[in-house]
Formats: sequence, structure tokens, C-alpha cells
Amino acid sequence: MNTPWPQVPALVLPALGDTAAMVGIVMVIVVLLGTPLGVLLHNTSPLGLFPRPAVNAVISWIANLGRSLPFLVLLAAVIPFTQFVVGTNIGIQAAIVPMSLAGIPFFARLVENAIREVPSDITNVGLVSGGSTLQIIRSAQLAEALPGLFAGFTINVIAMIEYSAIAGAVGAGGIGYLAVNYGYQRFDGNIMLVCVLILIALAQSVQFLGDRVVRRVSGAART
Amino acid sequence: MIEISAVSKSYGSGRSAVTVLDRVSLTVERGEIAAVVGPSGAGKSTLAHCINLLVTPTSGQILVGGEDLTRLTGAALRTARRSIGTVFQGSSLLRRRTAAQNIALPLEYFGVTRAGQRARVGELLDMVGLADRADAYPSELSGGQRQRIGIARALALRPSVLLADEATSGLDPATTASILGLFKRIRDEFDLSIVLITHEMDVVRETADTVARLEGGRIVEAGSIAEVLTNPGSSLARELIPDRAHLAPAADETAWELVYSSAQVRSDWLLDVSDALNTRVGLLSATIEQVDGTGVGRLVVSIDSGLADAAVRDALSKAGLSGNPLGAHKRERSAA
Repeated sequence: MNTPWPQVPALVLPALGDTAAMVGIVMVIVVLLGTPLGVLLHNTSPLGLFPRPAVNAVISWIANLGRSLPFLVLLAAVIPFTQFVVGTNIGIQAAIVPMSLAGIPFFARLVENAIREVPSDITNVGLVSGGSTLQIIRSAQLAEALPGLFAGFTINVIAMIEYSAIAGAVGAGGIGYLAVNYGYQRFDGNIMLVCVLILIALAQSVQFLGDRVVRRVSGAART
Repeated sequence: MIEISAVSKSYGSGRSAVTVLDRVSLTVERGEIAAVVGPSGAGKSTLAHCINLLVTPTSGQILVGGEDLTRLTGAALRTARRSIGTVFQGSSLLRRRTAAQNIALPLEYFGVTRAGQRARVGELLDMVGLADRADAYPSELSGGQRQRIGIARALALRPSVLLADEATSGLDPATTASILGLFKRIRDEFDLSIVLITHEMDVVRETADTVARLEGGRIVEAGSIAEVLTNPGSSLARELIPDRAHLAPAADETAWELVYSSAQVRSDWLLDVSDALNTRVGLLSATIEQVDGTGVGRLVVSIDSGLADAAVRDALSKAGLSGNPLGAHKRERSAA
């Protein structure tokens, strides 16, 4: 093995930056779009504030669609769409499109679950207190579901790190790109090992931080 | 005052329709506490949801201050809901808000200023005796304290009607008593109409002015507590004051079950009845409950079997009591 050790930091650090950028941008999009979708999923269901079985079925179907394809297939399948949206099908920008498409419905389901965990009487409390739909969603549903939302967010970030590595394999850069190009195609086991260790460390530290935040926000709420 | 007028609720349509409430009517005056009791599945919680406008009745009206609230939607419905405070079972506090923030929730929704919220929350905390627990989270409060916060929240927007939906279920007897005391106090202080939905007969006996029994979606018996208790045939009375075991009458005597209200009956009625029948009336068991300052007596006495039932009834009613020979009644009940 001919590991170019002196170059490793110069390879790894930008790759790490690329991964962080991809996951960061994707998570912003995922939270901005996935949260309302999850709120709609819950509130159009029979348990929600405005049950609409037909609307619920459609949203639910769309959310499942985004999650039914293995990410690699989704990535390849949406290339024309990616090209249309960001004008390219390689690089970080190109990875963001399929990652968001996979991440939004994923997060929507996690949001839906987190809200469903809030006792239904809490929504009724909001209603009898004279709250508007938006007020109840914000202060009764989302605020009470906050620990669940952070737990879901953590899961989602780790899934996006994984997806970023897959996207890296098709040229999006980041740790995945490094692992595939150096570790796999050049048979450089050392680089592969470094990439694996970085990915493990990333996932573990995200989970660790996520757990701490969840504990913090549910602190006084533990019963 | 709240007037529930012929409220029906059914789910589904056509043949598969299920009627949960069937023309339920109930009026609760200002300053009155009305209890609604009934077995589970009788429609109590659907009635509660109709009263606090979470469920729209299929037909009928719910009038508060003369206005029918059942047909309102949107902003008008939200405003109407503010005239009815709800205390939930197990208080249903928002876990991530402090006691004070929970009480402030309706005020926030209503758009009260921060300063206004703080002042009102302070008043309410004082009223429920928890001023020192303002910053405690629900998990740091006892069940009774949580329920007090729930009551304060229900009163935040000064409703004219308070609905307590199984508000004392799951609380220990001492806590239940203190919560019921609080209900009476706020009723007196704010001249509220309070509807207590409950399955606990102790709650009804200790707190309510009137009681209605819901069964299979209908009100099968209703009246003031005193009326119900002095109605000899009332099954609700029997639930409110359960039959006590009584001594066996002598061989030549019959047991009679009597009820009376001290408002109509002199306390020495036993002598009057004995004199009128010219026999000795024996006491086999007796309960006298205080309801709204009057005593309600339910007792079993022994009377000479040789006397005609009609003569006994006549003597009893002259003294202001009503009663029935127990043997016949017991036979009926065991056959049923």
C-alpha cells in the first residue's frame, strides 16, 4: 500500500468540510419543508386538528414515495430533475437535491410521530383555551413535542451523513468520495480506515450531542 | 347559565349510525353545580365534548347567555369557547411549561399583554393557593397541585361556565375533597355554572346541587340532590347513599324502607307515626345525610305486619314521609 500520508490531512479536511456543508444545507431544507409536512400529516389524520382523510392519504402517499427507493436508486433516478433545479448533476449542489428529496419525507414522518406522542388532550386544551390552529400547532403540538423533534432531528442528521457518503460515491465530494476514490479504487486500506473512523466519529458525536439536547429540553418535563 | 337543549349526537349515517347522545337536556343556573353521572359508555365524555364545543352535536342547542354556540365556526367558535372553561381529567398540563406558563396559555391565545398576563396569572395562582409554585414544572407538582393549576387555567379568561370532566378521578380522597372545596369556593366567588362529569358518587353527594344520570345516551333521572334522595324509587338515590345492612324485623313485623327530608318532617316523627298507628315502630337502620343544610333521611323501620299497607302509608304521609314495605321490593330486585 502506498498511502500518501503527507497529503492525508489535505484530503480529509476539505472532504470533511464538504460532508458538513452537504449535511448542513440539506438539514436546513429538510427542517424547513419536512416540519410543515409532518404537521400536515398529523393534523389531516383522524387525530388531528383538521382531519381530511383524502388530503392525508395523498400526503402520506407522497411521503412514502420519497422513502420507498433505496437512496442510490433515488439519486440516479432524479438526475434529470437535479439538472433542472441546480443546473448540474455533479458536486455538492447536485447531491443536495436527492438528499433533500429523501430527507424531507423522512423528517416529516419523524415530526408526525413526535406530535402523535403528545397526549391528545393537550390539543384539546389548546382548543378549549381558544387557540387558533396556528397557535395550537406552535405552542401545544410542536413545543410539547420538542424532545421528540430533537431526537428525530438527530436520527435524520445521521441518515443524511450516510446519504452524503453515498452521494460522494457518485462525485459529490466529501468523506464518501474520499473513501471510494482513494480507499476503494486505489486499494488504499489506510485511507478507507481513516474514512470509516471519521464516519463513525461523526455519527457517534451527532448522536451524543442530540441525546444531550433531548435531555436538556425534556429536563423538567420528565414524569 | 348554560342550557343544554335536546342535544343529540350520532356517528356514521344510515343503518350503521350510532347514537351516543339522545335528546339530552340540562340547565345549569348561575351559582349552581350540576353533576352528570352514569356508567362508562353512557355518553358522558361525548356530552362533555359537546359542552366545551370540541364536538358539534348532530342536533340540539347549547346556549350560554342565551346564545346558541353549536353552530359557530372559525373565530366566532374560538371566542365562544372562551366562555366555557374546561378542567380535564389528570389536569392535562403542558409538560414543558411551568405552572405559571400553563395558566397563561389562554391569555397568550387571547392576545393579552405580557404585563396583563403576569397580573392575571398572579391572581389565579393566589386563588388556587399555589403562588409559591409558579415556576414549578408539572412533573414537580403533586396530582392535586396539577389539578389546581388546571382549574386556574380554565378560569383564566373569566368564563361563565366551568366544565369539569372527571376532574377528580385518580386523586386520593383528601385531595379530592380539597379540589371539591375549591370548586365550591370559585362557584360562590364568581357565580359560575359548574358542570361536573363524574363517576364518583362521593363527589356528587359532597358538591352538587343537582344531579342527572346518563344511561345509554339519555338522561334517565334528574333533579336536585334533595329531590332525588327523597324519591323512594330512585336508583340514583340508592347509588348516592348505598343501602346499609339492616337488622331483621321480628317474625310478626314487616320491614319498611322510608325516605324523608327534614324540611318537611319533624325530628320526632317516629313518635308521631307510632301514635298514629297505635303500635311501636322499631328502627332497623338509619342514615341522615346533610344536603344543602337540610337532612335527608333514609331508613328501615319495623312495623307490625298486622297493619294494612294502606294504613301505614297514610300514617307515614301524614308525617311527611314516604315508604314501601321492603320484603316486596327486595324480592323484585333479586328477581331482576
